[in-house]
Amino acid sequence: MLSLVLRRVLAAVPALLGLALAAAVVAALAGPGWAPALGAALAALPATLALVLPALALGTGFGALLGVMGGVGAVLGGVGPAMPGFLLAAVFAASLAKAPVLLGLAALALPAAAQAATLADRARAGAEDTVLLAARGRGMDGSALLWRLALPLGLSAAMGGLRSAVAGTVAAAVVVESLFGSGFSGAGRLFVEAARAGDTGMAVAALAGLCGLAVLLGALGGALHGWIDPRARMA
Amino acid sequence: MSGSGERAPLRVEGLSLLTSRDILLDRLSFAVEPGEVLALSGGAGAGKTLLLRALAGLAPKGVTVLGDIRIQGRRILVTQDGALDPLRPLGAQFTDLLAHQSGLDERTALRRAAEALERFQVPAAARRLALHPHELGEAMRWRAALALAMAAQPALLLADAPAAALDPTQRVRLLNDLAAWTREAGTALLLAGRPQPDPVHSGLADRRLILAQGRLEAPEEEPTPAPSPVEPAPSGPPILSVRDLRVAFPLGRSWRGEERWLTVVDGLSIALAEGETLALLGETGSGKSVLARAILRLVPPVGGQVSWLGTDLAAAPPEAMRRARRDLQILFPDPLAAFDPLMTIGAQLAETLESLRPTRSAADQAAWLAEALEEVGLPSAVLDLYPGSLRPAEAARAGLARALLPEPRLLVCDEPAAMLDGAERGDFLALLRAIRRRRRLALLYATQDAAEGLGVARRALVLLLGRIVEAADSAVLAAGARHPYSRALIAAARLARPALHGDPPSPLRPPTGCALRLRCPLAHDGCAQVPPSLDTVAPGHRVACHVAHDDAQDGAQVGGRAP
Amino acid sequence: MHEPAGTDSRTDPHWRDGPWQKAGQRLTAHRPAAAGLTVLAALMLAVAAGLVTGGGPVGAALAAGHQSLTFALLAGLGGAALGLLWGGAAVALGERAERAMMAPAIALTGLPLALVLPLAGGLLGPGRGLAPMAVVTALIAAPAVAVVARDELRALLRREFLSAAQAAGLTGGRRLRRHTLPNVILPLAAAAWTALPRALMAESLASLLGLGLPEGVTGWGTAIGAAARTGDAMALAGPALLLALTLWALHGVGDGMRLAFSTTGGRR
Repeated sequence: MLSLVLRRVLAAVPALLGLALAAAVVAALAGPGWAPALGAALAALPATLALVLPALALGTGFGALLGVMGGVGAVLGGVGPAMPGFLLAAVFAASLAKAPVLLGLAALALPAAAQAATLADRARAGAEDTVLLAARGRGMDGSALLWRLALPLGLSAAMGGLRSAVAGTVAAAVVVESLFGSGFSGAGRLFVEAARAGDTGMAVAALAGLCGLAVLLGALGGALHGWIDPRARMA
Repeated sequence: MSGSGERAPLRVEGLSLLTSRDILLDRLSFAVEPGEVLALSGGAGAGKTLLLRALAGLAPKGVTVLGDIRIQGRRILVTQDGALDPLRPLGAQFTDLLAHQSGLDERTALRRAAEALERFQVPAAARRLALHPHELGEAMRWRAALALAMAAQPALLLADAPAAALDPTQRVRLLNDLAAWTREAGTALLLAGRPQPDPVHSGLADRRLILAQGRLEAPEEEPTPAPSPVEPAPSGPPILSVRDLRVAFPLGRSWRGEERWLTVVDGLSIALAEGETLALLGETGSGKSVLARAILRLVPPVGGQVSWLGTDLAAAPPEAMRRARRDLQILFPDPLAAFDPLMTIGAQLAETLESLRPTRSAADQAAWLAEALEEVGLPSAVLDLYPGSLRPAEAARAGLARALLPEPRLLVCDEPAAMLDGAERGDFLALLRAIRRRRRLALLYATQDAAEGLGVARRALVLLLGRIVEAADSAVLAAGARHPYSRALIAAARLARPALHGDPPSPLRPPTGCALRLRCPLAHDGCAQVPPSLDTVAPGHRVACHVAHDDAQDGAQVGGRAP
Repeated sequence: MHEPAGTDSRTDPHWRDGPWQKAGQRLTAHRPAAAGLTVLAALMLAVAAGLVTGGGPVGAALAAGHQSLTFALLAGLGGAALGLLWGGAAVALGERAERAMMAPAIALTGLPLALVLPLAGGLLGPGRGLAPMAVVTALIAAPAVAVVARDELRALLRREFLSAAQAAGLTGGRRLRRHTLPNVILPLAAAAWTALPRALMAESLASLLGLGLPEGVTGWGTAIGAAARTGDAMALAGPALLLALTLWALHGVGDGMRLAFSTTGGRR
């Protein structure tokens, strides 16, 4: 597992360096100079990570479970495309003023869960006449079939869609941080404020930071996917 | 039809399967005794899979099961794809099944797993248990799936056309090993499969039931196919001559910058006279299909020469190539996929005609198309259909009609009946033979089914990893092939256990010396030294095998030593 | 899945239908796609009617829809064209160029590209024009289209009927015209369609932050952002519902197109 993580993260290093370099050049040319811009962006990233990571983890996990079990999962997956994270964030921000942290998390986790549910449901349906039927033929059934076979298969499928989920969640996190007021002061907020002020260097640095976050999370997700599904280790 | 013992692991009385609209299976009654191998034959869609699922208690949703299924002891169904859990290593799957169902502890379970794999001649079985299914070859995956089923010591094993996609030498050996094991263990084995050839005849199965139109039929005595009338060996100068043909695909560069190539056809030479028929026998990776395509220049060769009536096709200008394409036509393995789904059959036939015989007038053309369909036994209404509306058998005939349109002199067939089963297959091959005789076509027939190839063609080449290992008249090969690989192919075609062990070598890393030596029962140290040359052992009979050469020099009779 | 015994594909009343009809039947057999098509048609009509009658909160939401949908359609079409060109050029230019061109496209699909639009909005300032924003949106939508288009083209070029056409003596140009291009239309349409929801999402997200459509142009995102900042749930409901419905319909149709038309990932 550890070597898998290392391999994935190392593979992402060139992309991260490229992003940092691009941001530094823009910040040096247009904005406050490369050091303060990159410094501010890096300092703001942990807050965004604290929002994005639990949302993705909870969303993907529960989504995959619901998707494999059908029923609620199928409904969740079905309405998923109608509720992108930024729209949920706006609806929550407008209608409910309380508990913004939890709501922010929910706005990010729900779309991730919906996507995971769709993928897991599709994987289970696809395995029904192959892997699952073969296991039933060998006498496996009931909860063993669900927990030992169907859920790992669904989880693996959900992890396969993690790259796009990460991208969507990071983009939505920007809206959450911007709309939910003082509770959040991450890179997303920095990005929006810099963009509104026309501060090119700072905005580009913050965006590069967010992209780097997505790359890193994608790499970690890939490693986790490989841990669950040996077929994904090669890719 | 049913057995008499009270302890039959499976006894079925009046079993019917219904949907709300159809009767799928109609009042089946049979039994399987302990240690008996019962073959269940039937064409595609006959309901074999459905019956096995119902017997395993896993009938699909919406299917009602009526009648009596009595099962004594544990039953295990091995599904058509033999799927294993893709996420966990083999060992974990064995321990899971054995601990869950037989209450074994982990060490005993692993030992039994290794023993089970060894029954299928898996070398270093214990080490394979750490591998995941996707790390195994297709044949090894099937061995694991069947070993997993048998390790659980079922009283009844339901096997749904196991390993159907494997090469014949591997599949038939696996089935024979499985049957031997179930007989020894007293497991009742219900083995579904294709209708031909008869598994009872070769001793693979003890009894056979035939499923057709939802009912069980008693097997009829199959008429042995009448040997095709012996034609005089065609003589005259070769019309097609292939010299030292090489086809290879670039694999990119290695880290040291060397070009790496996958050689598929390795210096093959063929000569074909007017009206001559030649079978190319070989399994996956033998290069037969690529050779067939390279002759028509559908795949570019990297070396050697293909000449048609003295014209070198590699250097032929477009107009000459088009004239040659009139004479050289091909049948594809999936005839449906060889038609453009967006054009009607008529439009595609007309396109071929316009391209290769542009002199016909429009009225003439329509008559010609109808005639071409009539020749292959299709109504002219098929001209207005799109490929998506055709059944596989109709598509195969339409493909034949298209190939015959430009009045070719050589028909190259790349497993043309691969998609057909049972009677449809037989009918199509009979039609192909009749048309070939009537038109005096030369035929190049690539197939992995030795019986089919030897029945269609007068001469045959056996190919292994892109080289010829044996060349002889079909009758000579059928009576006494010299090369161990030829013998294995011919044995597999009648479901007798082939003497080759293990899996074919990877074409990326072929073994030194003889390509077969790692699977060959006769291999000795010398086989690893140099590749055997293709030498004449009798008039018109050439073999590339160190052992067969020695035999020939020792004056051994045709047929040689039994493998 | 295997056909149960005794059924015959000829009992299907549509067995004689042509490939285009069958593709249409496959599309509408996918329920979200059929529903999505209906919803999209209804939305178009409603937006057109809203433009004529106008007025009220419903009228305002429909008018905003006009701006959002027009922008998404234009930018989405641009993105689709760009993506198809990208994927097509990669396949046409040979293996090395294909790897060099597709690696960045694949890498870009893993990034929150939608954020480039608010960045552009901020940098271009309040006086930004629609055209540059549409171009940026098209660029955002293109990589994902390119990746799918490349896969579809590769799969098509491997199909056997092209070999059969070659055996029939058709020249390269005629094969391309008569067989390759017609067969590539539907799979590429499915790939191109994905640019539409992507463009609408990017525009709505940027507009919601006030950095999307230029000032004076009110899209759904603009209205939702304004309502969210003032906490006006009533003003938010209309545009939010319409946007959700549109995105759902676009995704449903896209899913159906992928299942019905794709030669590669359709049945994944």
